[in-house]
Amino acid sequence: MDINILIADGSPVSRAVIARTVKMARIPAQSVFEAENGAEALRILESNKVDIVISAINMPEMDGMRLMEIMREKGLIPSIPVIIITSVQNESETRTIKAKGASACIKKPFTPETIRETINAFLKLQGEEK
Amino acid sequence: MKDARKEFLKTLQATLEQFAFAFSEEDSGKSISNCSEPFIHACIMFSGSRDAAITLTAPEALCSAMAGNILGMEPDEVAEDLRADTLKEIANIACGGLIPALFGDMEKFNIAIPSAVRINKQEWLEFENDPAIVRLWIENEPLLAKLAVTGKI
Repeated sequence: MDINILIADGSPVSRAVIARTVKMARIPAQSVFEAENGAEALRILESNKVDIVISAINMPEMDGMRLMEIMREKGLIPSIPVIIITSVQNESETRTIKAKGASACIKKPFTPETIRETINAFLKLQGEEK
Repeated sequence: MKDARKEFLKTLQATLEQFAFAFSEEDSGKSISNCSEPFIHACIMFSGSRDAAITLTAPEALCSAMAGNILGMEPDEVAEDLRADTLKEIANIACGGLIPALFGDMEKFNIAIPSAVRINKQEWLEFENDPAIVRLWIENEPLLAKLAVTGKI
């Protein structure tokens, strides 16, 4: 099953690393969309079928927390899993991120294995639901 | 009381290794005066029970080399905006690692969007006189790092 992935991160280097990791991890991705902030991510979500969102928290214009709030208002969460990639991952931060609707939280810097295992876990879940 | 400088150095060196595949060593005695322009100066601030800023300053050539390591390309193929973004992202990741190391697992901090500017040789040399600067060397290129925190940790 080929999937469409949306990567939202204010850092072009970080987006490139995530996209490269997805490719290296042999995730069956048909399209990988990139957004530099939450607002751009929402525009992509409105006009494309997206299966998984991988997003940073700290982004200009609209951060990852607000992105998840709007996705939830629009009913996109929980049907589209949101994997948050953050540099800070203490208990307080993780709790706040999960409360906003994130399905998983990955700490930067991450390994390709972490990305692959996390995405594959959601693909397996989606497969079982269908 | 936590040794903020020690924690900062440990977190920054781990970030450089894990994210940029750059192995660094501290050497405060070696001269930075003969490094060539241009330089990039990145900054990230965070606030909560304390306000703090992390600044990283490095020759653009080092930023290109680290970006090349991260993205799997030759340093001279790295676009100009990616060189500065690499240093910003290193500051961002180091900041994220430092917060729980210094303040524990439960404190909430707001992290600002990192910024970066190009600086000239004169501005670069001004850092040399700052006693709070940590000088790291990565394959004969210097990286000047500073953590400034308000109040005691």
